[in-house]
Formats: sequence, C-alpha cells, structure tokens
Amino acid sequence: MGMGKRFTDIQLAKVASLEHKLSSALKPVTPRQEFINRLGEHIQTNQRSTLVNNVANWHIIALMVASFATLAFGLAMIARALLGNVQKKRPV
Amino acid sequence: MPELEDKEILAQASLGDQDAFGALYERYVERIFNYVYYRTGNVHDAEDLTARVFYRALHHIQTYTDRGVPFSAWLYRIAHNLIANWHRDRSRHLEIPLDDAPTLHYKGEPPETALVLGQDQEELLKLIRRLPDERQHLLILKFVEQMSNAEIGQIMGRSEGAVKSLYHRTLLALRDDLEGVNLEEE
Repeated sequence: MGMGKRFTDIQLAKVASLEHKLSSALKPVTPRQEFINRLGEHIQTNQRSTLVNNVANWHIIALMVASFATLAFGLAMIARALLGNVQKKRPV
Repeated sequence: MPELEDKEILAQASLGDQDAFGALYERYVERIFNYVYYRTGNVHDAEDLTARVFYRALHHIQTYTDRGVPFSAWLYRIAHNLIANWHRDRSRHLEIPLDDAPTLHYKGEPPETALVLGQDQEELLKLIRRLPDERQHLLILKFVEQMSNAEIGQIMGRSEGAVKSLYHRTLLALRDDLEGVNLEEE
C-alpha cells in the first residue's frame, strides 16, 4: 500500500516537473515587427487587386449580358420585319 | 476595430471590406505565427507559412461559414494543412540549415534579448514535434496561448473532458519519451 502510494507520488511529481519544463519551453514569441508590417501591406495590396479583379469580372459579365440582349432584340426586329413583308406579299 | 466582435468583423470582411480583414490579420497574426513556429521550429518557415495562411484566408474569406466555432479554429485548420504539406515536401528535399535565421524574443521581453534555448528545452521541443499533430496543437494552445480546456475544446472541436483526457495522455507519452532519451544518454 505504502509502496504503491510512493510510486504514484513519484509519477505525479514527474508529471508536475514535466509541466514545469513545458511552461518554460513553450512560451509565446514575438514575430519580427518588420515581417508583420510587410505582410500586412502585402495583404492590403493583394486584397485591392482581388477586389479589382472581381469588379472587372462583373463588368465583363454585364457587358456580355447587354450584348446578348441587344443581339436578341435585333434578331427579333429583323424576324418581325421579314414576317411583315411575307404577310404583305401574300395574295388576299 | 478593437471593440467589434469577430462575427461582425467577419461579416464585413466577407463583403470585401479591406479594413475588416486587416483587423482580423492584426488580431490573429501573432497567434498563428506562434503555432507555426512551434510546429516547424524555424523562423524562416514560420514566416513563410504564416504569410500563406493569411493569403489563403483572404482568398476564401467570402466562402467562410460560421459553424459556431471560433474564427481562429478556421485559421488553425488552414495552418495545419499547410504545415502537413510542408512536412511532406521537406521529407522529399534535402534540408539546408540557414545561418542567417532571424532571431526572435519571448513576448514581453525587450527585442534585444534574443531567444536562446537550453539543451534540455531543445530536446523537449524536438520530442513535442514528434507527437501526433493534435497533441502538438493541444500543448501549444495550453502553454503558448494559455487557454483553458474549454477554450481548447472549442477550437479543436472536442469536449472539455476529451481535451483533459488527451492532455493527460500526452503528458504521459511525453514523460515516457523523455525517460527513453535519458536512458539512451546514460
């Protein structure tokens, strides 16, 4: 019984000692300020270019939709004119 | 934006607000750097991988969905994936030690006090880096970030009890590893 308790105490002491070692080995570090600033600037620039790309993509899509609508409208007008002509020429 | 909660900043960032993403960057860059630094063990790779984490986050922020876990969990997940790739690539290539590695210092200490590790600490950190990923993550959150088991559980997607149990198992495994190293030295 006494031996068992002493063994457990030793194990607990070892774990406590390990926790102490861990707390001195794993401490928060401060990254270089130069790195933080440079990366921050890169991210801002990158974000701006992403935004510009997205806007450019929207412009292209809007232009395509407008072109398609114009083309469809034009074709409809031509078809209507042709149909009108055919109906006029048809003998009554 | 110090007074705003992550959720509010995230909502703005996902709409393309530059300042909002900048605020998230400032809030989390040190934590991610610390995580990557302790996982890789060198400053150059920690800086490179930290930068990649934030570039990737920037490109995917619009698709981020709030699942009720802290935003940092998402960043740690990105970092974890990049570190896994880094380990894979590193095992394929010859490692060249860099002499001009920038020096770091512990938080709260003056910048001129360079971080110098004792042999025991180096040995312990090497053993930690051999542990499974989730155990390394747990130790970093517990000791570097000083988080409680409940907070760690939120980030790792586990219950508080599961974190406690994992921590205990990790300590025992690490203790055995240390004893193994000491026996080898003797």
